[in-house]
Amino acid sequence: MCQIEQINESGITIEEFTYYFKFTFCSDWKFFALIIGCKAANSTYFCPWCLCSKDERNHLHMDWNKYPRSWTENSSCPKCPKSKKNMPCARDNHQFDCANNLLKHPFNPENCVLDVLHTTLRTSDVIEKILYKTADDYSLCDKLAKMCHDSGSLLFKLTHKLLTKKKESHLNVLSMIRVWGFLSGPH
Amino acid sequence: MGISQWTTLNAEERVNLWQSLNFKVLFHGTDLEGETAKWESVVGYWLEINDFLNCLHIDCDCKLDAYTFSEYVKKICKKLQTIGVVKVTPYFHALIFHVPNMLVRCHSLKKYSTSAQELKNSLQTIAQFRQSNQHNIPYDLQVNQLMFLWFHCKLERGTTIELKRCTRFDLDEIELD
Repeated sequence: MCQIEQINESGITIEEFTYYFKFTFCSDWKFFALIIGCKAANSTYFCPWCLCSKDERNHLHMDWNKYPRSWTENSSCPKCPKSKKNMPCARDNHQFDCANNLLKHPFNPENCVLDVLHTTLRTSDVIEKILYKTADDYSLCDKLAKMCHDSGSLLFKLTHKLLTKKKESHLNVLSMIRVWGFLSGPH
Repeated sequence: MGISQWTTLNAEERVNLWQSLNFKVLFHGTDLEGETAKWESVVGYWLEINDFLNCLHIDCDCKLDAYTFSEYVKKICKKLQTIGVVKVTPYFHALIFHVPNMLVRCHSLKKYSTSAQELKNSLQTIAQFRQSNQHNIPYDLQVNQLMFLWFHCKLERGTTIELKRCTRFDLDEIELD
């Protein structure tokens, strides 16, 4: 991080030319959340850029850019003005401790971007999940698999798990462990 | 009643999948025939959003821009609710509220895509697991990395080396410059 900061400030001089750099941080949500210390994508205050909570994600009419998350000091969410002394309404500054943020200068919310590859994958996941569920509910799996095969798509049906009651599946796991224990022998 | 498991696809394969699906044929003869338009609309929106994000915006003919993008993603979120997706996911949240600002600042996000690093990671993992047979993973990973660096340096100097002859035990003799 020190090297990045140094290059950002003074650039690199080769012969008589000095080259200055503009750094941009790009990663998927998981790594981003880990490195800035705001837990994970499924935490209550999940967003590195704003203070939208997971219960308010469906409020599409809100402009969440009005409630940005500061990476260096306490931030205010829409509920904060109602709390005492205008302090953050959540005790732990909305699940964020500035000291835990590993993305120091020159990185700030303005030069950190979301990776398009993971955006493609994770948004497609949402539609795929509902497609596979619909295919299961309406017995369309074989038709879907055939359609994909005919069109040259690499989507194949792997297995069909039968849903069992929790107790039964627990027993199955136990019996599997017993069989595995028998096969692998005593340690 | 059960759950089907399907193969995991990469980004390009997913785009191909959504482009190739014909919902009219798929839903023909079921109660879902009336929902064909909804599905086609969702997939159409997703493909357009994906095209826009993966464009470098140099002499392109994209219909969207950083300002209309947000409204477009809101539309797909509303459409998704009609086919059963109840919650807006963090990625959709970012697409609506934060990605437009990034697009204004950076022009295109494609140039920061981590697909090259993901590919390297994938190849590295494949190579490592093939060589190591999953024993002593940290050591084999180190071996793989060092051998890669060593041969890379040697080949740059114009020396030809037969990769197969070198084993992990030759590492003691390797000196990295």
